[in-house]
Amino acid sequence: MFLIPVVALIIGFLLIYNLRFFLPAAYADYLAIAILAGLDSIAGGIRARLEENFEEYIFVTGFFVNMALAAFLAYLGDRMGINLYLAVVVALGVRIFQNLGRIRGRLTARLLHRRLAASQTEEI
Amino acid sequence: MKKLPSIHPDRARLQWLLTLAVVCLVMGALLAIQVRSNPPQERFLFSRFGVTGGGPLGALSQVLAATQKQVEEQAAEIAALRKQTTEYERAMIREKDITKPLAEQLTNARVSLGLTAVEGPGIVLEVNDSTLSLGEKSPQDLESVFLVHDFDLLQITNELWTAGAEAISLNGQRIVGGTAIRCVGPTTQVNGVPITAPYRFVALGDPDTLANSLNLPGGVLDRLRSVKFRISLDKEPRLALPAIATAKKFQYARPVESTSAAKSKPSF
Repeated sequence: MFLIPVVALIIGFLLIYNLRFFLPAAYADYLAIAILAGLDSIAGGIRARLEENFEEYIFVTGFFVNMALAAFLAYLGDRMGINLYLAVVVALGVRIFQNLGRIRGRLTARLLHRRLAASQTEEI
Repeated sequence: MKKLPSIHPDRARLQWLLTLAVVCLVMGALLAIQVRSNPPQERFLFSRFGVTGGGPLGALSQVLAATQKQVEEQAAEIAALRKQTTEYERAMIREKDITKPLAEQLTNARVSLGLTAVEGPGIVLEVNDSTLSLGEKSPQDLESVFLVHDFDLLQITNELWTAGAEAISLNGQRIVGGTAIRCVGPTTQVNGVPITAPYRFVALGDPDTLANSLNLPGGVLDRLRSVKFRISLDKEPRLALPAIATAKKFQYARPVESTSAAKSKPSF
């Protein structure tokens, strides 16, 4: 069941890969940072789901808007001559780590609960 | 904190998974674009030239790589064409005697212009940075006194020409009329090609004359040796020098039609 998103990821990848979609290399860095923002959104979404805070609209809009914002900030930085790219990378990196940490916490807690519940029911 | 309205848990789960699936589809697509548009060698370029990010700089690195590749290809083409031309000339010489002196003139001109590879007796001079140092904590600009600079190389070239060298090369680059030896940051460039120490001069000419002229007291080598720069000078009976890699096109300098001496006065 939970493999659906993974399968979707692979399908999306293969689809575009084989269509030989090409982006001018000048934009490669902006796309990279947009992907990072996307990863952060996904991590945040999974974390929210595990904490039972998940809101679909926030997740979906956040995903697209964050990606656009990240790319835009990097572009703005280039025009201004400030390396804003770096700031975005650091901020997103920190968030990803925080989210992943909370996901890890929740998952291990769930795993422990199940083990504990299983052993308790066995006793009974 | 708002909580989702209670739906059947499996339905909620499916909905969540589908949302995530759509988002992952988009992610996969973007990753594919990124992977397609950014082959590993460009990443190497970014790290090599210190480009940490930014579209325009990335594009410039790419342009640089492409141009360098073009230069290499064109140099190879020039070498091949020159070979062809010399073969045609050889055939012509065999046919007619009139063309012999012309061909000789042409060969001489080519040698002095550095358009052909040449061989003959001469000297090999290697110059390397000084063994002296002011100490580990001395500042960078003072330390540079003990490094070989462009003006040292230029002086050596000067002395070689004066001593009667007929062809000179520096680290494999032929020194011709338009050759510039300059310091660009930490590296030296000859004919636009970056080179580093040890600097190896190969000069064709009378080995004894060249060596004696270079070793004259008060000359470049004398000065460098006194500050303990590493110099090695060898006379060789047989040396080979390459031709200059790229051809020069003259846009502003045009040959003067020499109809009479009065008309063709050079303007100083």
